[in-house]
Amino acid sequence: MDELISHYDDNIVISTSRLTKAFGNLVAVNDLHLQVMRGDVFGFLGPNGSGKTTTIRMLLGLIRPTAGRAVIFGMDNADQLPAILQRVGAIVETPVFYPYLSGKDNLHVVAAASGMLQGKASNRRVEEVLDIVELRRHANLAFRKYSLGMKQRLGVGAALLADPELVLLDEPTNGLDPAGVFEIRQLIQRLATLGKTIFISSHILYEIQQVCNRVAILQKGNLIKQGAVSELLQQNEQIVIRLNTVEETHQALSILQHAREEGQHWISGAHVDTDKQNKPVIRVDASRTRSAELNALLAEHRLFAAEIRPQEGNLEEIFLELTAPVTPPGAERPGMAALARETTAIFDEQGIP
Amino acid sequence: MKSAEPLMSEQQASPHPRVSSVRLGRPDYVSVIVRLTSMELYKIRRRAMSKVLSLLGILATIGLFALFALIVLLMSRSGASADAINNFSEALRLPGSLTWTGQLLSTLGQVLIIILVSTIVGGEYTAGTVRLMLTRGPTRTQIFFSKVGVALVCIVLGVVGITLLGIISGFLFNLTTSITATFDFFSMAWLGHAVLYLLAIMLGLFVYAMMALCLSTLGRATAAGLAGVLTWSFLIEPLIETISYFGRGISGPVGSFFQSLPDYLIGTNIGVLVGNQEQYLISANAGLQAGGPSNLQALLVLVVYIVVFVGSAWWVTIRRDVTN
Repeated sequence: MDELISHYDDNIVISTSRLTKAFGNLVAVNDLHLQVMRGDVFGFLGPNGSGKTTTIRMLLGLIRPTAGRAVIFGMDNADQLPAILQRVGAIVETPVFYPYLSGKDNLHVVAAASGMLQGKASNRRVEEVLDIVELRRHANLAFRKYSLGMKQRLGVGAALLADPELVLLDEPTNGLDPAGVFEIRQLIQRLATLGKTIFISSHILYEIQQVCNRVAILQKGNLIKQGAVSELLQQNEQIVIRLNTVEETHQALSILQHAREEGQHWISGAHVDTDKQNKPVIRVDASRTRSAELNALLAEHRLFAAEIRPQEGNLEEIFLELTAPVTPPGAERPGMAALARETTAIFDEQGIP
Repeated sequence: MKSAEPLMSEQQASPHPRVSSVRLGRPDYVSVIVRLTSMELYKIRRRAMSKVLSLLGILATIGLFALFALIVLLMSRSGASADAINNFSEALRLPGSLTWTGQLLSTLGQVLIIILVSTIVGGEYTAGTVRLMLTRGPTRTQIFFSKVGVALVCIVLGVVGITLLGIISGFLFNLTTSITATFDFFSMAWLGHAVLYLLAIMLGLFVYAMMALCLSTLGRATAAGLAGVLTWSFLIEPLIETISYFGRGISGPVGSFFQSLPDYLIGTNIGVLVGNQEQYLISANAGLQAGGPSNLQALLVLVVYIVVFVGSAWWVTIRRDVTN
């Protein structure tokens, strides 16, 4: 802990060190090292049961870590939780409120619990928040009558009520319709422009890709990736080449493989795949800025691509790649079998090992 | 750690700027508890259950004195003697109306306060709103003591309110009997004992409320507190008293042990404190002491119960992991 705090940088909002939580024999979070910087919109990803909510609960002091520490705003949350929580707004899992109170009354209760003055003194802020989450029309409706989307929006509103520096949102778009998801995305982007640090866990990877600048991916309690979204996507960039015939496709693949072996290391790999029209294409693992070089390389061998299209990396693919269960030797991943057979056949034909 | 200290104090010394519409209250420890208690009262005021419980208390009080008035009316119509009517109708006039209200508070009031406290504590776990409260800044201890505080406020308001209602109802129904109320009994000493009598009732209700708070906390459910306290006060305590009764037939240390058991029950000790003050209120019996333990012993036993209930619930509250 001392090390974590003594190396504290004002720009680091959340820093965890060896954070671990075990429930009996089940290790829910294992040796987690996270770092969230001021102003980050930090995506926290992982399949169900990977330990995301457990981590958020540990950060908020709802559960105690079995080992390790979490330092937020330079303060250890084991010792200075109240001071930390005054600067944090959070939703943990499904937002829960008092079912017999209206949305507005619930916000008044949250305001009092957050240290705000009660009654009329907090009216203005409550009204502002109701406007932000667009619940003013339903402000006097009992919470138990709210739809799931309205509950989520009220949860976000409660998290924003005391104007916190750090907003922790656990699956904030759960149960929202596409319009609701879009609204929450806009809200998060707006909060980010106000300088808030946002820590968001979600299953909707497209949303994360749209709003987050940094992500961490968790699997079975272990951190398997952490970094800038742009860097992750860059690592996963491809150039898709479509040629006019199957023969040309095979030739092109062979040329690319040889080029790589002869020192063109910007080609990380190449394989045959099919596009949405089920036509064969070559996917080249290379930076999207290399399209022209790739085109020139094929042209040298008198191969002229019908289409060369740089393809942006996709967080969903990265996520699935990183969190996919290890396929035992000899077993084929469902859905990939046909593609694998097709590719092998092409490689065999070309004599590529 | 030394190098870290300035950083940490800097962090705390410079609270982040918030929008002007966020108006924070006093951050000191007691102010936070007072604010949370006030918030709990706000929640109670807004829920239908507390209105139903209050209505039940009010109707039971008015109903009790209406029943006395009706019986007095029937007695007079059936030609009962003036002395009999006068004696019976004393329940409608002070000090009788006060002691009858006290009886009502100690029985029905006990059930109502158990329901209320079990709901405000266990309900947080049942609905999951405990997560909402625990992630807002106040410490678990502050939140816990706000629950204790709200139980105390409800007991004080309930006892004072129902007592006044009982006295007023008795007075109004007494008008139907045409018997004039006299205040011969009234003196400053009587008033002092009346206050002590009400305090003893409040203490009794508070012990059961803390038992409900403890069991609701341990069981993380309203039902745990409700069922636990009702079982204890209406089943286990009478059972122990029955065992003690049969213990009289056993000689030696075993018999003594069984006979002394009721002296350590909540109900017995509340009964002693309330009963001893009741003797002073009814002038005919002034100065008589109820049987059983002394006031001091009764107080000590009840304090031990409170410490055990509050202490164990607090210990669990600050240590437990809050999951689903």
